[in-house]
Amino acid sequence: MDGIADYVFLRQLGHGPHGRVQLARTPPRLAVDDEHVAVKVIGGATSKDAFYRVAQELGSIAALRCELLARIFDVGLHEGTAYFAMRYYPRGSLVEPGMQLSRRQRLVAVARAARAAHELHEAGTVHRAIKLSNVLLDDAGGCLSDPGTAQLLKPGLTVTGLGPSSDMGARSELEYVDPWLLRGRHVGRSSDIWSLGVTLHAALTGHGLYPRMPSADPLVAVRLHVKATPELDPDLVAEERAVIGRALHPERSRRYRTAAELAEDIEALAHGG
Amino acid sequence: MNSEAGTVEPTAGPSSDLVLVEVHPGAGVIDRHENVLLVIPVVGTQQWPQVKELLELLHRPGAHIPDAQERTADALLTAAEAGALPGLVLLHGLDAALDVRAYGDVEVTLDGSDQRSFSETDAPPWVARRVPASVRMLRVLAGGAAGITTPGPSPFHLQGGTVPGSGVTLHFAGLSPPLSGAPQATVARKAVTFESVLLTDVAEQCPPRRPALPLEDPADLPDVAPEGDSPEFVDGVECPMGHFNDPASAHCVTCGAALEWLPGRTVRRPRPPLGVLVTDTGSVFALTGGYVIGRAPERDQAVLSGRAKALVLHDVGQSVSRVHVQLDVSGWRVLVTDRGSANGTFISSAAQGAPWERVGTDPPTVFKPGARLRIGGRQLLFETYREEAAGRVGRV
Repeated sequence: MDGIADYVFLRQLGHGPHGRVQLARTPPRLAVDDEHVAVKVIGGATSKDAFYRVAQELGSIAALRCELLARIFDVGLHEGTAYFAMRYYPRGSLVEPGMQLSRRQRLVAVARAARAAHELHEAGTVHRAIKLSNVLLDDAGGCLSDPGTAQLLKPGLTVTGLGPSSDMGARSELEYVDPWLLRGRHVGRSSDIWSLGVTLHAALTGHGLYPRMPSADPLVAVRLHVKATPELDPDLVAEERAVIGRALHPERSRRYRTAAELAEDIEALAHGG
Repeated sequence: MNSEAGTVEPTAGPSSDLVLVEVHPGAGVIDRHENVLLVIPVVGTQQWPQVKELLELLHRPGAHIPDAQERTADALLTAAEAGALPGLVLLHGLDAALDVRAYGDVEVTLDGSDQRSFSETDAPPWVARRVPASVRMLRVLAGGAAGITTPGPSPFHLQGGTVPGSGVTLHFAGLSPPLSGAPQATVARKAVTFESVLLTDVAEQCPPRRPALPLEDPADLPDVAPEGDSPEFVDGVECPMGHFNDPASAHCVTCGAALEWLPGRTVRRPRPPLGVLVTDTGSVFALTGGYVIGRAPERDQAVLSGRAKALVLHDVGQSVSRVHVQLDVSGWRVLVTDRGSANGTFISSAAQGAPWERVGTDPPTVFKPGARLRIGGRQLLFETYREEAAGRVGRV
């Protein structure tokens, strides 16, 4: 695929279980100054109804005009394939930063992602796809990108499929999913807080919380994953363990109540360490 | 009115090669479809949605039939507020008598003569004319200053599709084309058509803000129905911790406490999720209601009526039928019914090495936690993770 709608692709920026992100030239109709944009092409056919749901959801996120959230310019449907165009961040993400980052810079980026999640929660939206590769780096220190849309395309969907993670922080995308969702429970503040906890751990240690991808057979992998217990890196200091442990508490009610509270504690880590 | 237009049977239109449509370069939109030509010399940034809507109307089956086309265009123009639509010219009947309708800031010139030209100011908001058969050339450009310069010959001849342009010059049969070469070739590439919602100025439209998410998760509050699905109330029992359970269970699904010895007092509550469906590619679907499963289940009546969600399973060999199998949630049970699939549906119980048994169309088969379904070449697991929930001790 060399483009979609009036976007001409220059190169692939990343891919996940539910789509690919491509660097594209900015078409004049967007009327923005950026030379390039990042276009996410959503895999699989998308019906008109599903497209309108996605457009509505992304529209309500764009309307927040929150500088902690990566800007979304355009959402479209071209011959049954849906896409959306976001601001391109040349400094990359926490997975592939364009420069060497200090521990403090990494913590600031995750704290800003947590504040962004809180803004979404206060506006009645769950991000659903917080992970290391969706924490992008900008002048202000970081922002959160690429809100989950898969559940709008496939009603009832809570996990979009396994396969190896493109995200170097975790062994599989499954790590970022609150285990309660794998028991059929609904998303909420606490499921995003779980994902932020896994993201924080990966940002500090460079690896995930589970020792290995449990099985090549997804049916077995999901079962074993839920059975497995996340293990924190032994080199983390006590304050870091406390913050991550509270974000990942097995009982949802004993996690941070809001992502803003988690952000405060991450900021304290950033300034204390 | 619009739906009537949509039911008109398209007729086989005669060749529209009788008119050569020369496209002048520019940033507007020129569309030639069946025997209709739409010319929009200038499109403002805010006007693209209306332009796309107009193109969609014109591309509907039967839209080229004069009556239907007139009705659809009228409907759009009536609905559009003043200024929302760009200046445009609609021409239909490219193969026979040509009718021209001009709207807004556009200029139509016949045979290059000012005396025979007209624009919308003659009879607002529309001016409609029939072009006399004697006319050999017709030009459409933006009105006012933008349209004063007479464009030179253009190498782009449009035979069909949507292309950018600032105007057109139509040459009627009998006239040699302005450039030698291959006059029949569509020089401009067929345009891509896509639907887009620009979010760059969305704050100005200010959609209603939703209420903040609750601080407690709905599913953790025993008396609150889960979001999304309309709650079905079921009778169940509470474990000593207050978790709501199937009265037939021996243990609490959440904490593992034994339920058998509890007094038989049931309470009526919204049904909690019964577990999840895991596909063989690792997608997980919450079991909060029914599903219609197949290659293309979206148009099934149960999905359209909202009784079930669509779960699409693809398979390279097309061993999955369009509507293959249906899951219904009834009380605390999940029931599975084959929907007359070509290759059948098979179920295997949770036990290791259990045989595959065929699922009938009637009566339904009970789908128990831990069991798998084989749907063509695909598999689906019903998982509850009960024992894990009971035994989970976090080390974090």
